[in-house]
Amino acid sequence: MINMTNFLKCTLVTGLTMFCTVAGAQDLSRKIPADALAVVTVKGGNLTELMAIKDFDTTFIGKEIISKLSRESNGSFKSIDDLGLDLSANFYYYHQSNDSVSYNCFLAPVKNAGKLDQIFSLSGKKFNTNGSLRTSFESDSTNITYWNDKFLLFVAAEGKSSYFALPDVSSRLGLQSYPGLPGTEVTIDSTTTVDYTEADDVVEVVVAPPPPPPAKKIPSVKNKKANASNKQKGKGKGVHKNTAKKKIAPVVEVPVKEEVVEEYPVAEEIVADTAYAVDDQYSGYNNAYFENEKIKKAIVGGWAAAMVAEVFDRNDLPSITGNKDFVKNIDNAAEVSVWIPGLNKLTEAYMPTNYFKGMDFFSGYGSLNFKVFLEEKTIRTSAGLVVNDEMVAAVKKIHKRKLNKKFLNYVNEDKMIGYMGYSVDTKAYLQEYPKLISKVYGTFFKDEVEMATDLFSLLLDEEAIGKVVKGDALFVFNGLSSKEVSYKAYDYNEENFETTEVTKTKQETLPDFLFMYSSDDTRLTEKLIAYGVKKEMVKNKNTYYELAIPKSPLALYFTIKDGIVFMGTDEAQLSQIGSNTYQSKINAIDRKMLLASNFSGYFSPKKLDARLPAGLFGQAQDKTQKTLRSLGDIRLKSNKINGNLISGEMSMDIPEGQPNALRYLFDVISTSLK
Amino acid sequence: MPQRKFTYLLLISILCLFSSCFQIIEEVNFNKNGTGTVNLTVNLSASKTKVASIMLMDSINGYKVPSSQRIHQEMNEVVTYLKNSPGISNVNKSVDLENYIVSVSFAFNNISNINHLSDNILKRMKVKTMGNSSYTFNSLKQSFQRSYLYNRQALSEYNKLKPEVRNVFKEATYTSIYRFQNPVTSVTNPLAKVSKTKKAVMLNVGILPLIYGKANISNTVTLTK
Repeated sequence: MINMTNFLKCTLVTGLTMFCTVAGAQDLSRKIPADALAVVTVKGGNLTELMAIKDFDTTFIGKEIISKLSRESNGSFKSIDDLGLDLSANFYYYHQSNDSVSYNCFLAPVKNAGKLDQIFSLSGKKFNTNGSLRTSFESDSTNITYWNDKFLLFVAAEGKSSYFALPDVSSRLGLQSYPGLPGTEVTIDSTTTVDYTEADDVVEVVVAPPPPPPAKKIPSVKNKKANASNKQKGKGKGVHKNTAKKKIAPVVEVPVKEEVVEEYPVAEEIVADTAYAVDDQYSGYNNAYFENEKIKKAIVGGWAAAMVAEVFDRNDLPSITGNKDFVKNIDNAAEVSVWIPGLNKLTEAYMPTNYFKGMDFFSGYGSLNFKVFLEEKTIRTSAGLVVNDEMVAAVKKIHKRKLNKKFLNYVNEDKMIGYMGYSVDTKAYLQEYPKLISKVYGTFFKDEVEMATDLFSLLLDEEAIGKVVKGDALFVFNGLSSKEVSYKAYDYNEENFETTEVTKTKQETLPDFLFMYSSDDTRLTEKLIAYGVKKEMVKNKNTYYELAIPKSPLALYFTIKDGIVFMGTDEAQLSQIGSNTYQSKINAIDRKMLLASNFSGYFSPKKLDARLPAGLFGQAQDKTQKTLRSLGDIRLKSNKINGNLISGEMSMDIPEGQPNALRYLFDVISTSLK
Repeated sequence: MPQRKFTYLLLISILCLFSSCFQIIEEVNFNKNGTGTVNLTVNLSASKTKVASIMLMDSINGYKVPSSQRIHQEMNEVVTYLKNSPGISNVNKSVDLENYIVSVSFAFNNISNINHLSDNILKRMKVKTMGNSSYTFNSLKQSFQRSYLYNRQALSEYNKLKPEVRNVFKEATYTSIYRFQNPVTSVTNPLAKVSKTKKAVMLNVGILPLIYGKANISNTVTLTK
């Protein structure tokens, strides 16, 4: 996708006014505010190319959705297209937050507003119409939906308890303090400090009268008090600028949900009497709680309504499309993409700042992106993180080391089920790590951290450690094997149930693997082996060693050869390595992945299925094997640093016979849901 | 209390790695004169491979793994507790760390002496019990009664566990065996089996149904007069 602002300019210049209008109306990213903390884009066009809407309607999931919506709309809903949304355009989710409220927003393009109206009407959801604008407020919540002929915006707003706990806010809104539950203490930390500035705009929220009394009577909000308390100044940093007098949907009570987590019913007749009487303290707590919730919801609902109205009323709001990083990360080939402008911003909105004052957990990190590509033969995901120049320099030093080429002489693709390759420069890592950690603590513990990192460097000889463990390693997973083990149990004779201790046997599943790492200085490892041999914990088998684990059927074998330390579970394999008779075999794809990436991995579910010991998963064995057979080869790798972007990707091949990854995913989901 | 909770969590966290199960066996030999013996056994042998691996570590999932020395010390505490309990004598313990089986046996003067004792011992052996047990014997009616009251707290505690930890309980079993000198004429618990000699009653249930309150181990055994 291209920058929409530039796109509009270009099209205007070329005089394609009509085209411009259509394109502008289709893409909704311009409606996403500039201060969004996360944006998710779903490319409807890509998805409908991979699977036509009429085909989606016939899938298991499609049928379920249609069936549910059809029930709610008296049978008038026959296709997902009847939603009235433009399924071939882009859909967005974005998140906004400040110190008092957070908004989860869903932005969808509308193709036929009449159909949407119909769905709302038939499903009994009320909405108001003002020209082309429709507004719907969910009762007893702060969820709001607005739509017109072009787009729909659904917002779920949530007030932040830290804001409402502030003494001046609580007092201004007339929030009651809880009397306290028996056995608990409810305290408000008066020392809590939240960055709070009075906004210029005034919010006036009118709490509508409560609905007719429900079965369980809960004291209604005193309008006088609520009105008085709600004539208060709004606050925030631009997320809500509420100037209009809004009428919030009637607030109704929230039914108390009993916290019962049971998988099957409890036999009541043998339940000990643990019931307790609900005393005045509980009812006092409930009353205050519900009163407070009503007031808070009215306030938050007012903010949300004003925010949504602004999105529809104004076209001049600063948009995310003005953010270069967002625009740069738009990928037309990705079906789904997630963009987070900064982990710091996101965490600051939720982390208790008073506890972590001065600390910067994501120092040096910039924006983060995650993308999903549904291709013809693979499902691919990629993740990228922008870091600052200092971090780039550190990571480049750490990633300088590549995997030891000799490792490939000990890989046999016919035997292996998967692998994990890892290569970093130990010396560089030990040198850079303390520096990176010191950034986390920012200025708050600056002196202490500097002393600690100096001491760390003084105590460690990074170069010497880097020789013993160079930093590259390869783990090859060869499968699972079964070994018979014995255990003690009891038999009871039928005569008088006298117990007899008996020995029984069962199959224990053991992992089969080979692990190797490079070492230029094997003296320490050799001394450890010699010590083990002396203490009779390690057996010397000439070209390799055996480490027996007491009372365990698992034994480990190891050897040192060509500057590589090997450790594995297969004695024959270690013997072959020790005697230079190991037969290696590796294809070009895996060879390239292992040698070109600092981190790489491979796993073949099909190979695992073929070697899975019978009965390992008990009753779930068939389902497990069926799932393994339905999955293709999985690969993951890190990419080279590109500018300031650190990235990696994971992919899975889809099985033969599947037209594309989306259809394959629907197949897998449908099968698992059936 | 925090200490007890900690040790309980410790046991659970270790058990979560077992491939299969554990057994709790309670045997009561009841004499005509009201005296008798009890043998309580916790058998982790079926999972000894995993236990052995865990015992090599100092801690797992953040919980400290008890050393062999610590296990012996805990069992000595159980013995001391029993020796100081009224009406209890001839206390013996057995710790088999080769197969991970621990048991404790003792004699009692009167069945009332062992009321809640099994629960307390199992608690000291770091096994959380699911309810409250008590034993009575009516010599006139010759009825031996084991009363069991399910405690909902067991389910509440169980629900707090991580799913992988809950798996430990799937195949765990509880077996109780009562042996008498007189033949049994009736038992009230439909799960109870009477031996061929009619002088012993066995009840074998899964730990999971006990946690859920689905199984009831209350039983009234009536003996011939």
